[in-house]
Amino acid sequence: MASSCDPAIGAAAATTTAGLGAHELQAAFQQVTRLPAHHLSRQEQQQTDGDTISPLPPAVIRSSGNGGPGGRNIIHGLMGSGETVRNTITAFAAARSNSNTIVTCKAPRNLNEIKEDEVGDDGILADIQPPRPKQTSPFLTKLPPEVLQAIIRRCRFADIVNLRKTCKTLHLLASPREMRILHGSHQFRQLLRCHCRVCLTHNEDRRKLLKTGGPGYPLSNKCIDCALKEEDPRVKVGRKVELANFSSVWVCRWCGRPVAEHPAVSSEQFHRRCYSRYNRALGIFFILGWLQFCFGIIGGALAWRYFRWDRLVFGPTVTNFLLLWIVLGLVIFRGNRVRTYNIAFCLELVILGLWIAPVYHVSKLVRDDLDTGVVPVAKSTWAALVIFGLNMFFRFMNVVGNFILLFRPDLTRRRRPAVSLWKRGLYKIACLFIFFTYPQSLESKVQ
Amino acid sequence: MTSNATIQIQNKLNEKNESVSGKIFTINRLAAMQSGVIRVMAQCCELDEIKVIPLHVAIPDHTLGLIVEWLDHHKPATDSELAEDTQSSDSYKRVEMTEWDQKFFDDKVTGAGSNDEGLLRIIFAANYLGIENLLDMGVQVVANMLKGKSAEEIRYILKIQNDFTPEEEEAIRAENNWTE
Repeated sequence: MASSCDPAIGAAAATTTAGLGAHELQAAFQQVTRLPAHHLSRQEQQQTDGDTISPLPPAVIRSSGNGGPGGRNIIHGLMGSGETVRNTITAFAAARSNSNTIVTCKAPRNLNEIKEDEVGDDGILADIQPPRPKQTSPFLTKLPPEVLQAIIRRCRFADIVNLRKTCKTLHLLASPREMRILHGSHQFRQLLRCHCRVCLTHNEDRRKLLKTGGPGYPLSNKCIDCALKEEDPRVKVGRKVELANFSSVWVCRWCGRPVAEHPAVSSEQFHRRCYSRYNRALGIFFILGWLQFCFGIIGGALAWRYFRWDRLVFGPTVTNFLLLWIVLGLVIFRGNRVRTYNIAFCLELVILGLWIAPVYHVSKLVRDDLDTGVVPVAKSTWAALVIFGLNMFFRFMNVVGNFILLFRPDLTRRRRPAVSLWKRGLYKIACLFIFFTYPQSLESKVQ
Repeated sequence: MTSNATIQIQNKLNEKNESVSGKIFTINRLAAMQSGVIRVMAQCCELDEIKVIPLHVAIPDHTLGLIVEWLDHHKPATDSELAEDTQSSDSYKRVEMTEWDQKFFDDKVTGAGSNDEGLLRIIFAANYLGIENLLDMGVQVVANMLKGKSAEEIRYILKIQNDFTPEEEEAIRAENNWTE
């Protein structure tokens, strides 16, 4: 591990590699124990002075990976340990010169904690008690700074951001300045750009992050989920949004999320999966539409065949038959550039209203026949009642669907995380009606 | 000295703390040489002259026992392998944790009621003894523990005391400008 150390100390310690004896070794380390105040680590000074300097000097971090002159002496390079070992060697050498049976290993201690009376005449520390982790409540911050630095280095960026929120020590230790030194300026900038400012989700290629400008850049990109949660006004169906990787994509017309990946082949405004769902909805709509049309024709035919002399049945049924073609024409030719839901709503409402009289009349006939019981109810009457009823049901659905479409609902809200459960339910019901009535409204160019 | 030679290390006797009883551990020389402290001693002097190496790291016997167990398991086969291991002293290297290491940390270090206290003691002792690989693994375990945790959760897990004033906390919560 790295530790802060003056180059002079490193030079003194370097003499140990020349195969010198215990006395020379001891003399070299005497210099260590006689360090003036400016040799203390910056964090230690900071703690005593109340300064706001970052906890570790840049040299500490730079020199951590190798035994260069930036702060690691030859001993560190030799065994990969920190200054913690120097005291051990000092004591070891001293003990060896007196006795060769037992040596004393001392644990490290910050140099600024050493009092003058602890240093003997020969410069060797008399008795240094090692710092120890608390027995009852171990704090992470009791670990040496270089160990904390190693932990920080192994953490993900999001974890570091959370870590520095825990206490002052870690807040200083993982300061932006230290982080820049730790990761390198370019890498650090990349990290900032690849994270959501809200949830700190990491996205390497930035395809799931929306670009945001203004103050706070570059840690101001927002992930799509957070943008949707915060109801970002830029994420709107029918518009393009700019991603953090500087590409512009459409917002999906089915799910309301930007089409950052897997766009549909034939429509870039849909995800591939969303487009296949949309096509399924269109298929069901197509089948139901033809079913409605068939029921309309069959209803007209039944009225023509069996109720030609009943004005209450024949008149409205024939009128509906004619209106049916108008509605069909409207559905086929309305396109997605002009909103014609008001016209469709009025037509469907008229058709629905016109079906009331035939249904009432036929149901009355059925009830009368059932009440008298003389003759059974004719099959044609039952069939007419069922067909007229089904026509009414379909028209009712169309009326409600067109009515909802009049208010231009944003159906993608049914999938937004910020929407409450009951609202989501309402949006789903609205979806049901709209997909029954006119699912192509999703592709409307006019929002 | 043969690869089967052993050395003895003695935990510091602490009369106030029963868990630090001055127990002597016997360990294979090559295994012990993974420790930077012991390795430097070996380079400076003849270990034959030393009967017992006392350690003043003030960690419980149990923790020192775990460290000895770890050292024994990761014992290099030969001196050359030891030299190879110790020469590459890149502090930021990612140590591959084997299944045994994972189990070691899960069951013995952080498990069995010792929780995170045991882990911090291991890291502390590994740092003191200069056992790079064990330190790296311990640090990696801590980093894994922090993964995906909120500040509150981290405080709870590692028993960190919140020393921010409410105003400071509010300012930190609001800050997102890392480019200042």
